[in-house]
Amino acid sequence: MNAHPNHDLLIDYLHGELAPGEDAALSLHLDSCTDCRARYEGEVELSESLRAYARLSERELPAGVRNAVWAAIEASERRPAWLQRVAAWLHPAIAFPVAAALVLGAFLGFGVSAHHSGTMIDAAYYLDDHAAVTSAVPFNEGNTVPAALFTTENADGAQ
Amino acid sequence: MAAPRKPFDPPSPEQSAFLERAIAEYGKATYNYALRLTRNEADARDLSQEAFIRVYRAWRSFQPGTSFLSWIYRIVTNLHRDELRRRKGRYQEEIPEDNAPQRFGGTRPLATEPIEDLVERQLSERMSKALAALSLEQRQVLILADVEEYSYQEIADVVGCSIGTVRSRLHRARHQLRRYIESLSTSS
Repeated sequence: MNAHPNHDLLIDYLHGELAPGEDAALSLHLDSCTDCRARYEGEVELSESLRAYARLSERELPAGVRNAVWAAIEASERRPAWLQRVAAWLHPAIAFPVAAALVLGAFLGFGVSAHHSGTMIDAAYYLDDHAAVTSAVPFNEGNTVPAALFTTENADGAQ
Repeated sequence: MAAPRKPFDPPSPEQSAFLERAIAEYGKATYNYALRLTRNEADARDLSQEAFIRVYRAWRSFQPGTSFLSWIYRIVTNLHRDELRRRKGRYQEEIPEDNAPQRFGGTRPLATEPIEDLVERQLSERMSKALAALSLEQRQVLILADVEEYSYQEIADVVGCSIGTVRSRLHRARHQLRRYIESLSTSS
């Protein structure tokens, strides 16, 4: 290796992540280049500082964790069967398809009923409207629509 | 008529023994990893606790012959990520800089000279501040690469990203860490 390695290459070398050929070439270069050796030593020092910090800040597992883990497990296993079943149903693998099916069902159901009721309202409206326009006497409540209005002759005659 | 299926498998002696052994052998490492991610004792405790509950539930999915530590680090990493998403924007208490002296496990040689102890403490404070300035992703990769001495492939497995991402995060993290430490050194 003739060119001086950049910092990224030195970091990969430090972590043993270079291909064998590249690793050997860089090792040879570091033996002969004092500048690169100094840069590499700087990277080594940074890693050592990190490990020293980790050792210094290391703590024991708090005493209560083991008991808390067992308490949580026992509590979940003591839950009534119906609650466990509900919890199992709430699992995403089950809950998602069920929710999707419900949403789809609700959407389709709404679409059908909205379309159906919309047709009924429109028919009634247009029937009343047509009857009101063509009749000589306005309808009172409870009056039935004259049968003549439904005949084609009458419709033709009105035109 | 078939008997109704039980929602959860009943605990077996093997399952209980598996959890006991996991806590005894890897409890400290798990807690310290959680602590370095969260920088908060209460969160690290909750995270470790939840991780061991997952270990108990999923003990059959652990493949013998693979690294248990990598497995539980992956669990802790994922739980921490989920927790951060859940509490996004909420206040998180950090470890105070002047926290009480640590209780050591016996493996760490204590500084024999007071001056060495002081220098070590100052370096540690600087490192703590510099680490806090990094992003969580950078901190994760740095801890796994330099403290745990994991390979890039192992880190990629724990964190759930590509080796290329591990490499670039590590390069950037070390570059930034060096800059922060230098700026803290010149300002003090």
